[in-house]
Amino acid sequence: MKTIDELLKQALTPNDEPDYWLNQKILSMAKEEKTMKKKHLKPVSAVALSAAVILSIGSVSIYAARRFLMPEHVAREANDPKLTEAFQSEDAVMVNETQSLGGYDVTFLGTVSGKSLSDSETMSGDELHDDRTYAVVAIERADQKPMPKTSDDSYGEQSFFVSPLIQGQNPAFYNSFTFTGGYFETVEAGILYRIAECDNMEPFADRETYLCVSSGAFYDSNAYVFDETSGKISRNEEYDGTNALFRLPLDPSKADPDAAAEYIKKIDEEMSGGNSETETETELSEEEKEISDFTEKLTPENLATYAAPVESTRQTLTPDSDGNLNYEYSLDNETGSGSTAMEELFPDKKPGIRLGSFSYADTMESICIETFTLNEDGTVTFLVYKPK
Amino acid sequence: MTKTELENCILLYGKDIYSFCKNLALHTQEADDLYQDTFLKATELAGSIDYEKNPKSYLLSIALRIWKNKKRKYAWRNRIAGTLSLSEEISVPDNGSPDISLEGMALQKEEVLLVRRAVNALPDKLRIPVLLFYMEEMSAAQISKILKIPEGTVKSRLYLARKRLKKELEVVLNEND
Repeated sequence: MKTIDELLKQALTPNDEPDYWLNQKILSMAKEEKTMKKKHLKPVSAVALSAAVILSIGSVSIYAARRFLMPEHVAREANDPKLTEAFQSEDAVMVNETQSLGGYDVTFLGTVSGKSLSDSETMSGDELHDDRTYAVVAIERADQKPMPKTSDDSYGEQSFFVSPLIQGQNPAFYNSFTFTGGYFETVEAGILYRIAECDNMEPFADRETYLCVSSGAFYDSNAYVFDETSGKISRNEEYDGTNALFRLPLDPSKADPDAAAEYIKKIDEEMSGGNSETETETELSEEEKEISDFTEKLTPENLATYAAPVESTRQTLTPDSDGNLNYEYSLDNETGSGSTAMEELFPDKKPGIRLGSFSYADTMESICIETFTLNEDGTVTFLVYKPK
Repeated sequence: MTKTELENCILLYGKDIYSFCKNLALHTQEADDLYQDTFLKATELAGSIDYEKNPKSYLLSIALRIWKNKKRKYAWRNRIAGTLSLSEEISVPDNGSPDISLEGMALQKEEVLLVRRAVNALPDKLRIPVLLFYMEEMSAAQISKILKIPEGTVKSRLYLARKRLKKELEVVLNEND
C-alpha cells in the first residue's frame, strides 16, 4: 500500500529539465552583464587625500591616509552622471575609514541616500525602486599585490559581500538581498571599487546602522554576531576571513520609525508569502484553524503545558547505519511509524527535546505530537504527546 | 556569483530549480522566465541570506521571491491568454522500473497528473511547503528559513496539506492498496 508521503514524493520528484538553450541564454546574459560591469578606469588625476586619523578598535586598525578614487569618480566610471552629481552634493557623506581584516584592507569611502539619484533604474517585479542608499568601498590586498583586473580570469574568484545592516534586524534575513540590493564593480590600479546600492536606509537613522564587507558572495552568519537582546551587530573576532563592519552614517533628521516598520513588514510579508497569507487564511476550516493554531504555538519548551505524554509509546532509539532513527508505535485506534535523520534533529548534538512530526488527525483530540529527546549517552527517547 | 559558480549552480541545481519554477508558475513560458530571472538575480546580487551556505535554498528563496512579486502579472496573463495547462505536459518520474508497460506508464502518468492537480489546487500557504518538502527535499527547518515562518508552522502546514491531499486522493490511494 502506498502512503500519501510516498505518493507525493513520487509524483513531485523533480523531472522537468530546463531547455539547453535556456541555460545557454542565462550564461550568455550573465556574461554580458558582467562585461558591462567590467570597466577599466582611465587614469584619474583627482584623487582623495584625507587627513590621517589613526584609531584602534580591537584588532582592527582604522586610518584614512591613502589615495583612493573618490565615490564620485567611481560613479562616473559606472556611467552614471546623476549618481556622480549626488556624490558631489552636500548630502553625500565621506567616511574614508579603513579596516584591515583577513588579508584585505577595506575602505569605506562614502555614502549618499535619496530619491532618483541614479540614471539606472532598479526594478523588482513591476515595482520601481528609486529611493536608494549608495555606499562606495575600496578593497585591496594587505600584501599590496594588485587585485585581479576585471579582464583577468581570476577576477571574481575572491568575492565579497557588501551590505547595510540595521540594529534590531537579524542580518541573516535583513541584508542587501531583502533590501533589493545590487552593485557596480571596477578595478583600478590594483584596487577593487564597489558601489553597493539598496533601498534607502534613512528611515532607520534613529538606530545603529552598519555597512558590512565580508568574504564570499553570500551573507555569512559566522562573520558577525547579532545580539538579540540589544539588537546590536558586531564583528566575530574569531572569524577566519574578512569581516569589516563600519558605521553607516545617515541623517538623523530623516529617521522615520513608521516608514521603517512598514518597510520591515513589507519584507516579512514578501518572505513569508505576501498577501497570499491573508488571502488563504479564510480557506482553512474552523477545525483546521483550531488545529493549526494549536500546533503553531507548540515549542519544546511549552510542550508540557499543552500536551501530555503517552507513556505506552516511549521507546529508546539508536541511529541505524545511515544515521536515521526508526520508530513505530500504536495507540487505541491507530498506528504510526517513521524515520527521521538524527543529524537533522540534533545538528549540534546537544542533549534535549525536539519536536518531530504531527501525525494525521481529524480532530484536536486525535493529534499526535512525536518527540525526540537526545540523551547524554547518545541514545534518543521517542515519545508521543497528545493535547491536554 | 562568478560565471563558473553560475555554471556549477545550473549543472547541480538546474533541474530542481526548474521543476520548482514550473510548479510555482504552472505555465511553461512563465516557468522559463522565472527560472531565467532566478539565476540572473543570483548572479546580480552581491550576496544573500545565508541559508546554512546551501545554494539550493538560496536559489529557491530567490525564485519564490520573484514569483511572489510577479504573481499578479502571471495571473493576469493567464486570464487573457489561457496558456496551455502544465498538467497536460507532465513527464512521468523515473521510478527505476525498466519493465513498465505502456499501459502501466499511462496509469502512472494519470496518477502523477491527479496528484499534481490536487497539489496545485491547494492554497499557496500549503502548496509551497509541500513543493519545498516533497519536490525539493528541504527539511522543515530549511523551509522555515526560506519562508521565514516558525518551524512549527511549517510542520503544521505540511500536516494540513497532507490531510487535505489524503482526502482528495483517496481514490488513488485506495487503488494502490
